[in-house]
Amino acid sequence: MIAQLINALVLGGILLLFSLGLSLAWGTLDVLNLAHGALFVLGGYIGFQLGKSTSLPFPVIVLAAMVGSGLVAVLLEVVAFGRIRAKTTNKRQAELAVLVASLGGSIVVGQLVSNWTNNEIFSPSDHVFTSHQHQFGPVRFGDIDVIITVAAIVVAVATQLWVSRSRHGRAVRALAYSPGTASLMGINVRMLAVATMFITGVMAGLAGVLLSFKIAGMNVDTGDIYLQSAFAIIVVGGVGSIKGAAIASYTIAIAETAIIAYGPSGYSTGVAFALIFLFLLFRPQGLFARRLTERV
Amino acid sequence: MHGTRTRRAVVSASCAAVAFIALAACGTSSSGGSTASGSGGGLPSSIPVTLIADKTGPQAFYGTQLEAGVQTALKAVQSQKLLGSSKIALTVQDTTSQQSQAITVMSQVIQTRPAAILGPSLSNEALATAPTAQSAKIPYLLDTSPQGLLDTGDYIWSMTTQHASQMPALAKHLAGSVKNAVIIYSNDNPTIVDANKAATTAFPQAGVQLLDDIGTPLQSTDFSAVATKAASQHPQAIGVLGGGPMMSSVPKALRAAGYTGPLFGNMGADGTLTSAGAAANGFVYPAEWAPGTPGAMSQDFAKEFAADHPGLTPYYPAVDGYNEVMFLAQSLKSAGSTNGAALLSAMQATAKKGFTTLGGKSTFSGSGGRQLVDPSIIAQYQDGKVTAVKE
Repeated sequence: MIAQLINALVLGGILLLFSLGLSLAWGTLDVLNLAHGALFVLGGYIGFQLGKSTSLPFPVIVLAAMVGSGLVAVLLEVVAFGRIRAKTTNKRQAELAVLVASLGGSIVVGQLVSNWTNNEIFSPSDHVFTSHQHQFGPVRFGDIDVIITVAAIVVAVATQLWVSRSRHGRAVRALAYSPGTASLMGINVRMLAVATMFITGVMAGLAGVLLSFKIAGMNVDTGDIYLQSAFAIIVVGGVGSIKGAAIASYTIAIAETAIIAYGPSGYSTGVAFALIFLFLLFRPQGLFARRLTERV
Repeated sequence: MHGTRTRRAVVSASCAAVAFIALAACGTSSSGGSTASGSGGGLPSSIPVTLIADKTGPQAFYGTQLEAGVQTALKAVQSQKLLGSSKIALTVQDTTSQQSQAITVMSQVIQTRPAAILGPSLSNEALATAPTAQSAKIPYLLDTSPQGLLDTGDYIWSMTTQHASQMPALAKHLAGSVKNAVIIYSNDNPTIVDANKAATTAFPQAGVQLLDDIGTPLQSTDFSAVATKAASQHPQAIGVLGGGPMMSSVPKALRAAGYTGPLFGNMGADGTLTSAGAAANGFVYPAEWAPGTPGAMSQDFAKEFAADHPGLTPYYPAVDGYNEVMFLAQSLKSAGSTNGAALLSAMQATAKKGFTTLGGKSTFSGSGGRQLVDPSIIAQYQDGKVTAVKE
């Protein structure tokens, strides 16, 4: 049971790292970024390619993957999302247009990674980073498991502190509440949006590169699988809520792991989503939904 | 005057439509290749054959391999002058790994009336396109074997060995060294579900007790929980039945969970274990061919493939592609014609006689005797290379 708890903790860490970025973009910029999965895979690919063609150390490779995915997220914001929001006055129309644009971004990035990898499975080789296993009685874990768990907690706490305590975090919250008002208050909305998207891309890249070191087989489809879980996490946790995303990530991870370990393992994903569906019947707004005020 | 002009236009349009329909009807009324001699009066100098493959998209690995095997076989047919002075003219069409695109491509391909169509590796594409080939009466040789495919009709042939039929050979190989095992399998893939069902029968019959079989979705990425569950039962061997990234992720997860024993699997392991590195060392699985398979044909294939496709390792889709072309060439030679019915007859005769593939003497079974059954070779992965195990 302890071994499975550790598995759940690590899975929860990956889900949290993945969904944090998506939640941040959705909660602050109203950008439901379907390209987030592709950015995640891109992070894994950068890690694989740098490991194959350079002798850079593991931390540098991770950093490069994070920055690479962050920059592509910025590109999407500058080329598509930001322009759409600037040119569309109707909020609903803008959201839909951004969604479609993000789908296009997902296809383009996915296609690029497909071509570069010849659609083959890829993962960084062991010479870059070997995860040694440690056993203390019934407790067994690898180095990569510790890194993922610590990274997830650190990033979640740092993001929460940044959003709630820092000046830029307050600006981001103001942007989420009312971009027009934020602009009038002297906030450079454009730059803030770009910076926020960079951070979401960095998170996706970090999740992707760490996962690629843990599992042996990543391909273009890997991001889509996590995207499905991330939507569920964000909806259950409450859009834009980091606390909610954290609780939902670990809850889903525990549920899936428990079903695999003690139930019909082949239906773990289905059962987990059934639980989410039941939860939403009673609390459709999620655990920590952002309070919305509409003036009439 | 206006009414006369309109009437003239309607009459002209109607005549054009009738002429078009008549032409189209003439085009599809005969079966077989567009350069067919029709009455069986010898092979044409150029025999059109179309390959529908997943050349791009998530399944491009299979399409790339399939085409490479086909191209190597075409060269062999040419150099051996199997068809005399006739030459197979291959056209390749891309499905982009999408069923909808495969259907569109097939609709276009049958209009060109090739002598035969070599089909894709994906089950869903095969099932979606087979009825079109059957109604056009064009022999369709496929690189997949999902349930129900051959029931489409007599022009549909499966040229890849079913994973389920390879389980007895695998069980026999393991019985010498293993008394019990656990199997991890992808429970949402019909081919693998069938393979698992066959294993649950074959393994106990061979004296290997199956302690558990653990289902997992094929598209899963994190197999830690599954690996822990399997390893905690302390089996003497663990099997992985699936395909794609799962085949390298599960061995890695098993080793991380503390399992150090032998690993085995299905043909889905062919070409998918490299990412697992040392975690997959010693992994054995049944294959249609592996380097070191005895026989002159096998050795020639290895040399020719390496020369034609430097840097590309041949896995089972390439082997299937090679076998498809050699079977087709023998059947064309025997038919002496690209007429669909004559070619089909020749294919049935070739299948009944027995056909030598890269793996050895093969047979055909299943619905209408159109399912290829290759002799199973046991392949082993070690340090990035796959070799045939000497039994």
